[in-house]
Amino acid sequence: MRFLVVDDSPTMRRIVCNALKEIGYSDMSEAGDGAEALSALNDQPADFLITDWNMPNMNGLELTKAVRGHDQFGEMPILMITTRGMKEDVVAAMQARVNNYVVKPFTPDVLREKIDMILQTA
Amino acid sequence: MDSPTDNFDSLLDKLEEVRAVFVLSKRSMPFLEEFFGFVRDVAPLIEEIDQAIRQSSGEMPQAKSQLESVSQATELATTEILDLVDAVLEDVRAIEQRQQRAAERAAERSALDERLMARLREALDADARGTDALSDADCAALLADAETLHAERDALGEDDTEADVPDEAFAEIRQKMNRIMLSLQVQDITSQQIAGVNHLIESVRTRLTELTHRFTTGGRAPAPAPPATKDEPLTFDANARYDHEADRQQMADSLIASFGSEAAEAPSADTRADDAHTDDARASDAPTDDGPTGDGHAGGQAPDVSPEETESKAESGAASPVSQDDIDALFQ
Repeated sequence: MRFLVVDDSPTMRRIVCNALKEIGYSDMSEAGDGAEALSALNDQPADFLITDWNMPNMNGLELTKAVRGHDQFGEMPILMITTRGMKEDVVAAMQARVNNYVVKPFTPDVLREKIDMILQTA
Repeated sequence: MDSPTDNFDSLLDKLEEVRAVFVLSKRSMPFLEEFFGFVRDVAPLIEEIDQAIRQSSGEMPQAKSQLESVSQATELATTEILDLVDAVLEDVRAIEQRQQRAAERAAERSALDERLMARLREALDADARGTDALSDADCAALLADAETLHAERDALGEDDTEADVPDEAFAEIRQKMNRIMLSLQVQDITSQQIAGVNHLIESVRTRLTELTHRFTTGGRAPAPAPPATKDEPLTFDANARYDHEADRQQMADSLIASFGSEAAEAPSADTRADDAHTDDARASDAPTDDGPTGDGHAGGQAPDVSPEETESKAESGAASPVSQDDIDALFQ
């Protein structure tokens, strides 16, 4: 399972990658914003997208919509990990068709739970 | 008694004074007109400045509150990390002591083995010299010594597993390190809070600069160009929080779970929902037509809010928290 971790904060990317390793995943790549992530997906497809929301160039919501509209990888699982914790935020993310939603700060257990839920329904 | 001539002279003096007043008025009229014009021009500007100052003053408490939140978050996270570091060091010390005890016992066993070997070597050397040292009494003594040493060794025990670190100890350390990693997320959260404050300060500064420029130039010179970043989309969440309350995640989970249960109840609407979402992804500005239902939700679709509306509300921070269970339901 290859993960693409997208966040404009290098610290958060590192934390997410460490958390993924902690729950047993080892194949992951990183991107600093939505545009970079799309480019990375075109070069080397991933199996699972984990994205932040607030990012420059292309935010996580826009990235999700762009991914969902893509012919090649439009159905890949998408997990949004963000500080945004309001109802309207979650609704907007659902409308963009994220598979699940995690509010920062998160624990590796929460990450595992959401990934397992997504993979079970995939 | 005043003569008519005196009265006439007095009248002429008075008329001269009145004439002087009119001349003064005539000379001061342009100045007064200019002054009134200036007041007329400046009054709206002053009102704008007053309004801007009031608005900026109103935003300062928000900035202050956000900075206080940053301070509290970093203090909380730092305390958590220090506590966890202390706990991990304690675990490591316990492992070190356990291993030291095991090493000491192993050294004692080794010493006893060495004494036994030395005693046997001594006996064999005597026998090799042919000194008839291995008499029955000597053999009995040798056997007694060997049994004594063996008993002492038995008392120490042969269990070397004390040197092994139990899996639970490693699990404890790993769990604490994961919690440290959780606490380090404060960096991302506080950086967004600070970005929010910076944005606030910059908007106030821009506003006041523009007004000051208009006040000093009377609007005759072009205003200074606004910062290049003024119209860029926000890349931070000013409402980011660092805490361990589960309310926001529970809200997200509940929404997701309820969305999923609605999708299960109205499978025929899923195709319509997928089409709507696909169209929405491809035409990013097109509003979503959810269609009327009894509860305002089309089966399989999110609540009846257009993407632009929700994103706009999300950007502006106008929101209402929902339980995590609702969010979880939407994604099941």
